[in-house]
Amino acid sequence: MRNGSGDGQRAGHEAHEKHEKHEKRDKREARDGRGGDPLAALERAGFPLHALPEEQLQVFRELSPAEVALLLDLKERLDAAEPEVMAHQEIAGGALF
Amino acid sequence: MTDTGTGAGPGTAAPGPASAALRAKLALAEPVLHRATARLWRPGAGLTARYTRYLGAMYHVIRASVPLMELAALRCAALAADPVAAPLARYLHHHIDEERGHDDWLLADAAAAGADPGGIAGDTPPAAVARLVGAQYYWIEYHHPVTLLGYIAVLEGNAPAPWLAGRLARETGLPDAAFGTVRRHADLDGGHRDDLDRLLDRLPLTVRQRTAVAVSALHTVDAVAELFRQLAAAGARPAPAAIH
Repeated sequence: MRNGSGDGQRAGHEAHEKHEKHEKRDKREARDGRGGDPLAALERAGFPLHALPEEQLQVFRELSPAEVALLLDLKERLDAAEPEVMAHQEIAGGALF
Repeated sequence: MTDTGTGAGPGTAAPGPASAALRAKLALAEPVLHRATARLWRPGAGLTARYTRYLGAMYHVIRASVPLMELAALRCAALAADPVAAPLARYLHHHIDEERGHDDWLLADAAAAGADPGGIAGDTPPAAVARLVGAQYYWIEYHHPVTLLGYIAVLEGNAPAPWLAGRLARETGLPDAAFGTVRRHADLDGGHRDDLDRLLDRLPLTVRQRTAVAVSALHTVDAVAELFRQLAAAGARPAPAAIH
C-alpha cells in the first residue's frame, strides 16, 4: 500500500534540499564574483519581487556579485529571526541617526 | 584611490537615478533592520537596561560620524581629477556642521537615564560598533570616500519613529530628558535623507562607484542589525557597571 503522507513528506524534504542547494550555489557564485542571474538568485532566496515595477527589477538584474551576496546574507538573517518579533515590527522605525 | 571611475565598463557613467536604485536595494534589506529594532524595543523586563545600553552603543557610533566625514572630505581633496570629489566634499562639509555635537546629546541622555557618561565614554566600544564604523574607515582610506554615502543613507534613512521616545518614556519610567536624541532625530533626519537623495542624483557616479555606495549601505544594514541583536540579547543579562 502506498503511504501518501510519507511520499508527501519525502517530496517536501527533497524540495527543501533542492532549495538549499540552489541558495548555497547562488551565494558561492556571488562571493566568487561569478554571479549568474541576480534576479533569479534573489527570487530563489525568497525575496518577494513579483509585484515590483519593471524599473526596480532592472536595478536588481544589474546587481554586482558583492551586492547579491550581501542581500542573500541579509535574507538568511531575516529568515532566522524569531517569529514573535513580527508582532512589534512596525513600532520603532530604525532608531538610527 | 583604487577607482577614479575612468575607462569603460564599470567605470562608465551609471544610468538612471542613483537615489531610486539605492532605495530599491535598501527596501529589500531594511526588514532585517526593522526586525532587529522591534526586538530591541520589545516591551517588558529589561527594556530600561536595553535602552541604556543602546545609548552607550550609539554614543560610540555617533562620536565617529564627524571624524568619518572629515576623513572622507580630506580624501576628496586628494582626488581632484574625479568629478565626484568636489561636490561630495561640499556636501560633507555642510553635513559635518549639522552632525557636530550629537554624541554629547547621547551622553546627556545617558546621564538622565541614570548611567555614568564617563563610564560609557571610557568603555571599550563593542566589537559590533567597530565592525559597523570600522568598515567605513577602510573603504574611505583604501577605496573611495563616496562609499560613506551608503552608510549615511542607512543611518539617516532609518530615523526613530516620532512616537518612539514617548513610548519608551512611558514604559521605562525614565524622565523625558533621557530621550532627547531619539526625539530630535525623529524630526531631523527625514530632511537629511532627502538632501542625500538629491546629492546622489546630482553626482556623476560611475557604475563602480554606485556599486560601492550600495555595498557600503547593505553592509551597514547588516552591521546595525547585528549590533541591535546583541543589544537586545544583552538586555536579559544584569545591567552594565556604568549604570548606577
